[in-house]
Amino acid sequence: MPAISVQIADRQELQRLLLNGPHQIDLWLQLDQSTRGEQEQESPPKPLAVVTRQPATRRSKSAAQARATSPSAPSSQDGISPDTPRPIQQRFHPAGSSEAQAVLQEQLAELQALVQERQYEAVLERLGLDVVEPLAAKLPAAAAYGLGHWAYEQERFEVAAPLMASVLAEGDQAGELLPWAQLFLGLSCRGLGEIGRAREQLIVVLAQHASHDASFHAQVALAWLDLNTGAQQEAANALEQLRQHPQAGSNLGELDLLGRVLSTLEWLAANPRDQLSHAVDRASSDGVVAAIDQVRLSRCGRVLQLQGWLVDPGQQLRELCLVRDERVWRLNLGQARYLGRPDLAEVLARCGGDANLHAGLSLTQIALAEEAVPMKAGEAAELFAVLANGTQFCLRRTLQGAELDTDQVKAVLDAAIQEPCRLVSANLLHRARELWSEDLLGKLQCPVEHKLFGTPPAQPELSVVVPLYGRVDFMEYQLNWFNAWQRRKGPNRPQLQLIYVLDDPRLKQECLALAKRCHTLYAAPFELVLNPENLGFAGANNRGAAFAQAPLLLLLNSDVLPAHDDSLERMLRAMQQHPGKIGALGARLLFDNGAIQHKGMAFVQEADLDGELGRVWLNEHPLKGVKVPLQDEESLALLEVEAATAACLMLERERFAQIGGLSSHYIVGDFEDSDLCLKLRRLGLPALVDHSAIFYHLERQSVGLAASSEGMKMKVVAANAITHHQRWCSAIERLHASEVQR
Amino acid sequence: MRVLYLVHGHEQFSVGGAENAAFSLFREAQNNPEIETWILAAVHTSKAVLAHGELRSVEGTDREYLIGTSCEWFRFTNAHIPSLKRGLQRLLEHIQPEIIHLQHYVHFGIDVIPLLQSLCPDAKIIVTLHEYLALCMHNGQMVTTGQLKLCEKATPLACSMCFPEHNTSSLFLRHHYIKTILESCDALISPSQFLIDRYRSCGIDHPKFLMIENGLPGYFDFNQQNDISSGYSDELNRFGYFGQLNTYKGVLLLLKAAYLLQEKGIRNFVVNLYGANLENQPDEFQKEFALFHEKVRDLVHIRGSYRQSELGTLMLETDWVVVPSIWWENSPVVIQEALFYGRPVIGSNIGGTAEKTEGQGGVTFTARSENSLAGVMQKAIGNTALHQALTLQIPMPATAADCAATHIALYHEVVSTGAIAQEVLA
Repeated sequence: MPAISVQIADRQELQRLLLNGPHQIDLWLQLDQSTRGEQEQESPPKPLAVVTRQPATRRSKSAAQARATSPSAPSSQDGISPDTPRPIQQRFHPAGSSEAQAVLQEQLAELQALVQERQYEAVLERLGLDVVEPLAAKLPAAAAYGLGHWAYEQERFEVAAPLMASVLAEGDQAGELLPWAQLFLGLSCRGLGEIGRAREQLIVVLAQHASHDASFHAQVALAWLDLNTGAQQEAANALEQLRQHPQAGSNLGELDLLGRVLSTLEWLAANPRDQLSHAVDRASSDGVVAAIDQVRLSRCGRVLQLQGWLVDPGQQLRELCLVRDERVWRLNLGQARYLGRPDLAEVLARCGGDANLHAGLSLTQIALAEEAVPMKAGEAAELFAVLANGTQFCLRRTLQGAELDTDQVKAVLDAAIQEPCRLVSANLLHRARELWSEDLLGKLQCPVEHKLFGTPPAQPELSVVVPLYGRVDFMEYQLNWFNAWQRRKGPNRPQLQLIYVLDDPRLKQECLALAKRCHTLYAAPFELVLNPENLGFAGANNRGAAFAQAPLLLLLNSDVLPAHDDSLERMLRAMQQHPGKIGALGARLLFDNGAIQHKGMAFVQEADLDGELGRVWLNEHPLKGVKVPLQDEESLALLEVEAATAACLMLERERFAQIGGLSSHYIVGDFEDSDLCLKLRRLGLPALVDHSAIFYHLERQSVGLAASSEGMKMKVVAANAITHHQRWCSAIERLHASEVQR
Repeated sequence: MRVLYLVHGHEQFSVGGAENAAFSLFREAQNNPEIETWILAAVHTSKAVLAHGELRSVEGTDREYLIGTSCEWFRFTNAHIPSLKRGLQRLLEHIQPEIIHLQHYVHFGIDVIPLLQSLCPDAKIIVTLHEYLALCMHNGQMVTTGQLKLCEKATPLACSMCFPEHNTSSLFLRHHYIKTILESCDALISPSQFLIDRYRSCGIDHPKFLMIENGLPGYFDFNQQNDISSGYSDELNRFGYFGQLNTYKGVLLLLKAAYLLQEKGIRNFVVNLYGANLENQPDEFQKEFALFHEKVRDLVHIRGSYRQSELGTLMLETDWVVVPSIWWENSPVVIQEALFYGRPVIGSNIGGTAEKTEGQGGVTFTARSENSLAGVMQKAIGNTALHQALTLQIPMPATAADCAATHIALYHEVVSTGAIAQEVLA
């Protein structure tokens, strides 16, 4: 490496060299000196006279005995000033580069090989949503079908659908698989709640493969779709046709059920429904006793919770259907949870059942946008059950309306994930997060209270968004700091727009009182956004960002405080020095004792964790808890990391908007930051950390009092981890394979 | 230049070093024709004299004011800012100070500083630190709860051990809050270098963190001084202790040292305890005090409290001034007084006591060690050579006038917002 001549006096030339070429410490210091030189002012110390004693018996103290005391610099950053430009130190080949392409091709080849060997489970674990279509494009029809069918069986409909679609794309080459692919595409759409598309696909099966076995199942599915919408006559017609179908003989159960449902609907139409009881006792005849305790439905009709009990030691129950007016849904008993009911011991005994039998039944169903039927006032529902011995009965209960809230969604997760952390229904999880997302996006459309305290700057350089939850006092510590910082920096400071988002309606009064206090005491102007309901981490940040005006955005946790005067400024200047080149910029976060809380995140897998957590990618903070001094290379360059935490993350506001802000699919909160960084990486932009921008992060203090139990917390974490993994597992593998060799 | 002083108690109601320093400065600075001073003293609302934020001027003068206020003692924040703001606003609009100098922030609350900054954006705020409350919740003394061990460094972890009801995060935030506000001031002053170093090592610093020694109040008579400063006894065996009789000032240590000497058969000395307040001390302390005093009652005499004006007379009865504090101290006024009257100081070798004793005509002993104190006392009795050598070293303490002049020079600096290097003024 040739030594760069130090005769280069031109600062711009020096900057350019250092930005583009290899960096050398002494040259950085030289550049820094010349940047600082203009800012410093010299002033000599002033000696002061000291009065001495007059009497000769006393020794007088000399006037020159002024001891100078040496203060430590207020900003204890010996080294590069924030205005000195620093280069980006790349660590991974960016998406879109030829190396990245090569890695992708390798990955696809690996997955393809696994598919050919029919190692579907292994493939599914490593199949991120971004590679499904590229992989499908490479697979021959049979392989794509095989994998797609496996995915369908695992309820991974969002994977099955594109795979089946790729089989269809092969046209006649697919041969025998075509009708089946068409069927499963339709059924997958149905599973995803895309009713319209499901119908389309299923009708194609009927149209193009009329007497094929697949068309039987398509017709059954369509019949059920008709029943869902209350189109009885269409369903009846379908049943007629089905009875004629060659496959009828092998699927008597399906036909039987449809027949029963239709006749029950007729019966219900003809007879007074309110005569039906919510309980039935068939102990003597069939050994079954059942009752509905309650049926709760959210007013929008999207979440249904059925709670009751079923004493059925002989396992007679075969089918369960829900009837609302003229609509019928077939319930999935496999998604039911069974709970102990000690109060039913006597009933159990009567039915000849074991005392340990879990008789309590809890079933949750989520209807997505196209499927949901809002609740009507005073509405009641019937539960139609068919037993193995052919008998059936009907129970009825008035619907209880419920508001859709976080606890309801958590209840769904409770069903989707069973102890310790095993995913039993991928579809239920999918629906839960879709529901959460739909709900969140809907809430974000609503107008919200927005208060200004003081006059915000007209042309802010940076908008800071801080969500508040569980505790609001952190706002004061931050505003106190901003006030002091403003006074020290004077008019040359960067102009900031501070936006606090209260995501906790319980604390509204306290927050407003504190805001008033802060407005009186601290000169920093700020804004307060008051969410009428808790939206979670993504919602709160996205909402705050909607009010941001500056070109740059900083997401900041309430329990993060700058450690030095220039912590924020460093990040700001770094972003301004590399416009359009940085995806997201994180910081070095310390615990209160100075140990590392975050200096970049890494994706790891921890096989010894329970259940799902043992096989998904998790976000790790390397060196967390360890005291590590700042390395030279860390302060001279902006280092690329796998991901950075949103506790303190700066990015271009337009970019944030372009990718839709933080993802709305993570329930309550978690993984949004790595999700964001991976999205940015997909656009070819790196996640970096500015190690010289140092903050304190009093982690977990911002959550305050959490209501959920440990078990539920774990399930929420697992749910989000699985979501994250399903989206990004392939991207993460490729990331790890893309390290730039030095 | 208009200067407003804030102090946490009026000298008429409460006695203490900080109150004296504040009022002394207030009066001395007034003597300067360029300066106009006012003083605002906090009256705690519990005294039921003034409501929170209620402003009242002191009779007979238009320069002294009182304001009712109270603050909580964890973070020193105000109970109710709006009422305090109204009272302050009225006074500040009238005075329009260019300098606001706080001698203490307790009772006012440390959040009075940002309040003042927002009410008077052009005024410069200066704080004199008399104790370590910003660092230490235990009465600002940096001594552990329970064991009363000396604490070298305040950290969230260490403090949470002294105060287990607060977790490290709360203590971190407390420190952050107070530190941020102090560092937002325009200058910080301390009467000892020790305090400055201690604050620095615990993370609170300021580009203008200056040491300015407390000046002796104006009534110290220079005419008398010469007479008194030659009035030593021939035996040089009279030890004087000036101050409250409590644990922290170390009077118990002095009793024990006297007892040790007595046991060794040395009885040719006398110890005079000038001070009171024994009856307000915890029972344990009173018991131990009584126990030891009983043993040495021929040698140690409790002379009771005294008025400042009597100090000269009492110094005539003293050859050595003992300052056996068991805590760090800042700049004990008694040492300045001893310097004025030419009495060598025998002081603990820690903190501010050591700083003001060593090299200033005093001798130190190992803090908290009665053995060490006894040894020094033994050496001191009748030791003409030592006494003479020490008295030659004793510097002239700063007078109130000196002190005021130094402060005024600082005020000018701060107002002209120039950067100055740190200085030490003795």
